[in-house]
Amino acid sequence: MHTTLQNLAFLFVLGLGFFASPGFAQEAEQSEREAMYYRYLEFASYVKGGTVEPHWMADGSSFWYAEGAPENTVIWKVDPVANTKAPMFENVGIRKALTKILGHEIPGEGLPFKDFEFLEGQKGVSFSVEGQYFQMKLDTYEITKTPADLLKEKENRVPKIVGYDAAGHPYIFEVPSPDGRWFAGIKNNDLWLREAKENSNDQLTTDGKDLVKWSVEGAKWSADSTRFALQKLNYNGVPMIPIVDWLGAMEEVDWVPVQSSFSRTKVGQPLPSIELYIVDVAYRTLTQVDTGKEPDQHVHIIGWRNDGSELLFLRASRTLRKLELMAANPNTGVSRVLLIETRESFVYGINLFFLFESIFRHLDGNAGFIWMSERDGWNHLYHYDFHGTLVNRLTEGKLPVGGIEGVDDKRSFVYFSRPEARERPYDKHLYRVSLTGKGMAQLTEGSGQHDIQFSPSMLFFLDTHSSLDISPVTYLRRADGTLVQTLTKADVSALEELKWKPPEEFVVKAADGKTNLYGIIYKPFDFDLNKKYPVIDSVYGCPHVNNVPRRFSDWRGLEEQALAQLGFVVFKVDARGTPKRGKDF
Amino acid sequence: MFFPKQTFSILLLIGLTLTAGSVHAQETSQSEREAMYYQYLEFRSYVKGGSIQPNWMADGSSFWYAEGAPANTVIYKVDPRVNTKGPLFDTARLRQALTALLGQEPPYQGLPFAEFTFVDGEKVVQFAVEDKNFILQLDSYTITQALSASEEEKKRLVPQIVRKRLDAPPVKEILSPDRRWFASVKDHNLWLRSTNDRPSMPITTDGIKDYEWDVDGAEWSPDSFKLAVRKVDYRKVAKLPIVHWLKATEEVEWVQSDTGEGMGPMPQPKLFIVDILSKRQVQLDTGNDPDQHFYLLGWRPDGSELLFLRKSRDHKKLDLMAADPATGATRVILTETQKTFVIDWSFLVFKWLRRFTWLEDGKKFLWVSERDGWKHIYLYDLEGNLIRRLTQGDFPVVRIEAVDEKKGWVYFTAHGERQRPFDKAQGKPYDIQLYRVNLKGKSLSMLTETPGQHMIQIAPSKEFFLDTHSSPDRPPVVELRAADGKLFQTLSQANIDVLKDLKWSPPEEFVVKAANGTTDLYGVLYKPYDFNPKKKYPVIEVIYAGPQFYEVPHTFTHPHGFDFHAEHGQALAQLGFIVFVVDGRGTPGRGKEFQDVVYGNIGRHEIPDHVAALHQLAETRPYMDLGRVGIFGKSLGGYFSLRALLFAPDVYHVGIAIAPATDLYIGHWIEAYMDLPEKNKEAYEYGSNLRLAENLRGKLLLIQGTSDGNAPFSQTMKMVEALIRTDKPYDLLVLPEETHYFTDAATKYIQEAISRYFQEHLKP
Repeated sequence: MHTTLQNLAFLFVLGLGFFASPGFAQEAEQSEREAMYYRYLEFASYVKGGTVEPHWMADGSSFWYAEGAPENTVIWKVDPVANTKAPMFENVGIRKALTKILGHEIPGEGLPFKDFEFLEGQKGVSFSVEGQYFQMKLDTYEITKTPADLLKEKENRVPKIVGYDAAGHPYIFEVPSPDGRWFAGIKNNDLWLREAKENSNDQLTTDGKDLVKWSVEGAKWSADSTRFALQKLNYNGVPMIPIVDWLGAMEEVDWVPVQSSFSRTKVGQPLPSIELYIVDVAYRTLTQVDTGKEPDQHVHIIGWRNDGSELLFLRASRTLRKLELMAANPNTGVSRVLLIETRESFVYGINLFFLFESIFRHLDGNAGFIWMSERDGWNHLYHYDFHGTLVNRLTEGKLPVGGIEGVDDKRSFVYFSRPEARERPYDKHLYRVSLTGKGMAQLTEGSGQHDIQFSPSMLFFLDTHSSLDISPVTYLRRADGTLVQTLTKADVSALEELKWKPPEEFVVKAADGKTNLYGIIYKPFDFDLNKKYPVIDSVYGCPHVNNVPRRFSDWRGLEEQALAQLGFVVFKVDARGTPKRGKDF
Repeated sequence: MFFPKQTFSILLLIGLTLTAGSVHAQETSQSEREAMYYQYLEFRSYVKGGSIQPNWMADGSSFWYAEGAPANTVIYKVDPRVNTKGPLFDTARLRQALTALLGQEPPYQGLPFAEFTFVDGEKVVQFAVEDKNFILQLDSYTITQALSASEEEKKRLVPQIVRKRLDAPPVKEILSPDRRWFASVKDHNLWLRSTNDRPSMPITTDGIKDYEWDVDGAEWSPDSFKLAVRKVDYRKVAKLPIVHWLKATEEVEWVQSDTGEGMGPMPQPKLFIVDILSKRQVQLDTGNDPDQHFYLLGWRPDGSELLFLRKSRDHKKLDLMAADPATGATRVILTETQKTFVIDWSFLVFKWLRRFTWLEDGKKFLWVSERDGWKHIYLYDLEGNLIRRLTQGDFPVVRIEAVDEKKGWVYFTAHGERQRPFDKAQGKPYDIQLYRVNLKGKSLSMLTETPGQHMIQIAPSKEFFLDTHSSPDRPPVVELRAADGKLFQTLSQANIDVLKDLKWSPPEEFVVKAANGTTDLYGVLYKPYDFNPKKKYPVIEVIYAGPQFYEVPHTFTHPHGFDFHAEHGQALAQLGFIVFVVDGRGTPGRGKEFQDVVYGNIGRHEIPDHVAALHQLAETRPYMDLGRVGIFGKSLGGYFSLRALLFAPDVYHVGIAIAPATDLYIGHWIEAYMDLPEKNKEAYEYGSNLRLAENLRGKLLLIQGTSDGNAPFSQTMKMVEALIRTDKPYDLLVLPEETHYFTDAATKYIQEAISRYFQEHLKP
């Protein structure tokens, strides 16, 4: 494919070059294609609405969401029980009141904000407009500026940045306690604890160094906000990468560890050793958790048992062939193995680093937990107790579970995603099964992707449905899948300007001549069947991700779709070795 | 010679790849041109002979030299007094005698060696064949095998490298006049290394890393008991990170760069005289200014004083100083000042280049100064009294070649310039001829005559000299002449028969006006071997334009070496381009006024001069297509290639900047031409190409080695960042682990890239 790309670049240069070549008409056409290329790069902005970001309210079922921002913002309140949907605010009144305070007209037509917070008791709300903070009584629509001391307190309740990546982007924040009072943070590689109300700071450790770093990344608080677990990373002996600042008056070199979600060292080189600690906030004590003697391993904190009696964490061998669920006594640090997964190749591979939060799901009370595993060759769900004994398996069959979408402890249902049929292996539907492993039912219909957002009450869910040729629609459904109402449908009328057509889906055989591979082809907007087009294969191929887009304006296909508009046929295919097709694949 | 093989494979390759083309006839011809490009890249290998390395013999006038090595070596002996030249050895007899000793025929056809030493008067010689030493009696031709020196013994007599430098020659040990010691450096301290089998010994113990003793430029006292030497404090000097990207895990090496250290604190040198017996150190009083440049000139013949030069950081003041070796007290002998620089970067690179020359009594010296706008020779005494000037006129002296005090002559080379009535080659200001003037400043005469540049080697007796001269259209010839210039015989004439097969014709030399409309600029223009005046050719300019060198060749092969200079341009022309090279105002060789045009202003006047030259050339040459103009150059030539694309985007359409400087914050040496950054900030900013990135309209290829210690990688990164910020497309060729001076493999890769880029975008 290398040669093809080079040729393309060459063609490109010819097209863009400043030497007028004889075929001027052709160039005009190519410049139109180029204009299309840039428009298609903005494809997502041609698709308006269709998705909903719900803000759940106190009853656990009602929610509000904003639509039409920023020009025509409406905030809708939906009550699924009564099956109503209505604007939450009367925007004329708000605009008028704000105009008076700000001293000028507010641009746009709708609400001047798309986000707000309820004040205590839900009788008032707070929001910000043009960088100023306001409070409004819901009964009278009386608007006042938020007092400075409240703002200060609010600011203190926001987690601060404590870590930057090599490019200088913030990527680690303080970890707040569930009661919002404490923030676990890092300064100069040491652990600090901030108290939100006083904004006071306590340094809890003093042994942090350049190569020995306390880290709140992935730290987990106990439910009662009295303890949290965190890691200390020791990078001694781990190879570092030089990041050279070439642009200053003099060059500077910063040595940093390999930084990605799934790699902290180079192939064949030592991993940073990870120590696990539990901090008791009242006593300001640190208890080290016994994670075993193996220096080269991965450790991930899952969290706490509901009653706070044990800390749960995952331990994976360096090669990822062995994964253990562990529980530790927070007072002594003594740990025990709850269950072990081993595989001849790998347990999820580097996807494990993305699945850490999905493998385990705590059930209420003493009901144990749900565990996800590929042990029989397909990803499935299992129900365990805290002795590590299998209670029963929840799913089976030759279609892999995508992930747990929700658990209704009260009604004993587990909601999960899965494809509907082997012929459409990348589809995502919602299913539920009872905790006894019985009564599995499919809750969504229509091929494609169903992205699910459950209400806290577990009585309703939002189902955003889209596929490569279906623009997104969001349905409000009851937990059994029955439709309450259609909330929003994407407006794609702007796509006419792009002369857009959906990509072509295809199925081909792998190099083994047997295995089906699924992919898509993008064609130019002015596609002509009689012409010959150069071809671009958009490849990723790394074994942990699927590269073929499956949703309507999926980022995974936008660049490729745009590239096709220049006069190329672009294809993407998920070949063997990529996920979602079972362990063998 | 490996070119034919290479050429064939290239022809083959081109033949194979282009068969599918639609315009078959034309493409064949372009592939032939490409083959010519690669053949012309080997241009200097086709010039055989025309140079002589004389080895002077005991009488001070006779000499021997080798020719035809290694395959057909002949060693000639020339005796100028009787004007004879004949083989020094009887080759057949020598080979025969050697065969008996070696047990086999010696290698090659002619002499099996190209160098030897006389051992006993000039009747016995010693030479080596196949690592064995032999002694030959010249009267009887008897040969005996001599003891071979062990590796250790050989090493003992050869100066060793004590410090490697990135992109600069290494520092070597310095031999004492009595040949007993090498002044050396070990672990940041001075050491003496014995030339016989005695142990080495430390002389200092106080040197530490980054505050270290350095024998670079050190001078032994005539009695070999004292060493004038420097100790340099680098502790505040920023180092350059060289990233080794190709290692299993990246490594960063922080190096002291001699030219690319940016504009931060300078190294602080301190001068010492160290007594090697007592180990006593005497620091010389060099004044209070911390930022100065020093150069050790050497000792008075009686050892009573050490002479050195001191230059202010802004290069505007130069003191000739003398130091008392007992106390370190110093006195100023004379001071030169200028409004711009007293002496430019050649101070750093070519050291003092014989600007100071002792007379035999050790009380007088010759001094070369540019104080009246031209480099001229002045006679001084050691109290700093000017006795008289020896030369004057609107032309610059190049250098003093020799002084014959007995007869009272000073021999010097000089450039030509307008008003020299005695000059037989007027109007060729870049010509270099040999002159002599007597110590009274009278009887100036020119000793060489043929137009071109003359390289002079004067016999120790001062009675004869070798005159090697050539010009762009005339291959080199070596002539033996008497001290008064009278021709005795032609010793060697270069053979360029191969060039006929390449359909070579000499470049066209031209004179145009600078952008000011009055100053003459000189250049050369190359055409393709199959030039057709009815065709339209794209144009490529080879540029350097930095204030330290002139770029146009005035000899048959280019003195700066080959790559990315004029000869490379000549090869590119064969692809179907008109290639030209011109030296604008601000470059050396034409006097102070001409060079000072760009003082404090680099980046302002150069490109307008080059644009003016291009337009004048095209006016009378309709075959030059001004719609397709390319430019390329290396280092500051890279800076000016970028500058051309950004400063004159309507004129230059394609540029290749190789190992470029992209702004002017590239090392203290630039201060000689730009004044100090704090005094001339606006001009430094004006000279930055980063600031002009948004002007880019043409095609730009940047070529850069990641380990460049002269034009650091950061220079290219800064340009790239500016281009990205201004949304300008560019091409970049990065060469890992390559320094400013590319390896042969990298050079070949770059030569191919240059050919490809210009062909692709200028479409010959």
